[in-house]
Amino acid sequence: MNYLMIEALRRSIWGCSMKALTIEVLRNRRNQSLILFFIALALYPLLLVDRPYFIWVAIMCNFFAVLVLNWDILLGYGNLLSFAHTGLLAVGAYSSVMLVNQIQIPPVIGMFSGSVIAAAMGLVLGWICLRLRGIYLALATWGFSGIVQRILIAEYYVTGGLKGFPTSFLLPVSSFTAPIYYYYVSLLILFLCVLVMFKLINSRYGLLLTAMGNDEEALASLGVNVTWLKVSLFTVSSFWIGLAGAFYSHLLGYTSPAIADFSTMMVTVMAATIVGGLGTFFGPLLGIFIIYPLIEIIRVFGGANQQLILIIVILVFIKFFRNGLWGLVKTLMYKR
Amino acid sequence: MPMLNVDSIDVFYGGFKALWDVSLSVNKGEFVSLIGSNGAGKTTTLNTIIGLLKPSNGEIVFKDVRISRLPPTKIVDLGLALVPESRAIFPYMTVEECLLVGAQIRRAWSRRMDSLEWVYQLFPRLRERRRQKAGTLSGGEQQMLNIGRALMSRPELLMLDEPSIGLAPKIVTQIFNTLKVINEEGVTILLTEQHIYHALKMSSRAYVIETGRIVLAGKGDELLNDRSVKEKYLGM
Repeated sequence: MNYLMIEALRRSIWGCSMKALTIEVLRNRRNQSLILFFIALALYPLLLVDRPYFIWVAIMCNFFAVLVLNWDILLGYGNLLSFAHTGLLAVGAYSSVMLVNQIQIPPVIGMFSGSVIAAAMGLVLGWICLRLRGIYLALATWGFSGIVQRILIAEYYVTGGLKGFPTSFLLPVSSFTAPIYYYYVSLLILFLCVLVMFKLINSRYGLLLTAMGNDEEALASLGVNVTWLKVSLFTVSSFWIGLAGAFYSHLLGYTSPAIADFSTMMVTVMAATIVGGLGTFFGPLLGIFIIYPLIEIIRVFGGANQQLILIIVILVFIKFFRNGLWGLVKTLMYKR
Repeated sequence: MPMLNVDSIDVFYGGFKALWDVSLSVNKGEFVSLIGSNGAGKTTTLNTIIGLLKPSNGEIVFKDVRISRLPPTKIVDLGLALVPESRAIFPYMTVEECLLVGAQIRRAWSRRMDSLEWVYQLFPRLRERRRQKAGTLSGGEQQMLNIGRALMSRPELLMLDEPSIGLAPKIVTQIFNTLKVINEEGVTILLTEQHIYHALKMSSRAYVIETGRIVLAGKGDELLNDRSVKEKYLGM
């Protein structure tokens, strides 16, 4: 009985049995490259165990990859330009930290409750904003992020103001003594996010999403509830963003309004998505593993010119390589 | 009992009254056309039936369900489909993906592969172009895609809003012949048209709409010989 129920659940989620799914997944070229990508990600920190700095860079890459993936799906597939990422990050981070600090729940549970709260926030925000389109949606969500950050700074007796407040680490060991464990946690989060979103994009839902990005009115005329489509997508992506935010604060062991900073967080996300290739799913993942190390290099050698260089990179790619690196690779492969 | 019964509906755009007391009915298996000149209210009628506009008075009943207050999603679920006048295709998706979007309702999704085969049989051109981006199709092919996409939801009643608009006469004949085949396969058709001759020859019955009112109704060939229709629409 129990086994049958689990099997039914699996079938309803994956549309086939686990065995058939495994075979099908392994046959697909795209899936093979995805699996290789994750195996590489899982193995390479082992080479760097005694170089904690590089492991930190890798952790940050995984953290940003979650954000980038969700931004790419919102903008590249659904044509929804949203700047709510930073606000939702802060919502996820602060709600998790407050729950952990005040009612002493374990950080892992706090992390998930933080992401659920961020998802709920995304639902409400989606319900309010998603009747807006294009630049108006961008402005409204930007406003949301701005409001969240101002509240975090102004209401200092609740949020700790600019200093923020300390919290416990996610794992029993501190991330500063043993970052390698945190690396695998971040990889797990990224893996789950990629898996769920990949499944979503390649389902009927993803098809409708792409159609919505192409022509919203045409889709509505087919009798599709476009508002529901937008709000549900926004909620799902808010969940992952909230999870990333909560992970980030338990990784650092404290949280501050810096997490909602537009120019460090959002610009990185935008740069990675555009450099990788908007609307290509794998492109932006590739993009962040190039952009974030680049940011670190600029931090070391370029002084305070980080934003400037990133913006120039974004502009160059928009002007000359519209389809990003992924598009470039594809054209080269077709030419051969 | 007719399959679709529109009972004296009034429709407003803000303060402007677009439809006055419009009534029409379509029986199962029929090919009915609604003809009239520009601005007569043909598109408004179809948009009201599919639920994009709401009538302020009157009732619309489809298969014994009152649909005049339902949202379009529910109406499409019941088995109605509209092929809109503006060829609203998804330009960056392939032909096959566009067709699959049409099969999005639960009832049709499980049969999507059969439906795809059916549509490709009706429009062999689409099979040739299945991997091509929809935005690169010609006007006639886009219209075929548009009709095919509506068929993917397995409608019992297919409504078409001026399928011939902006197309070469040869393609128009081709599309009308395919519509005849679709009708013979059991799909009821309600069509609006400015190509009066074609439409009247094909249809079992027709309604003539003028400035928001139904002014004439009858069998297709009877209307074709009707003096006022001849004078007004055929220039004879």
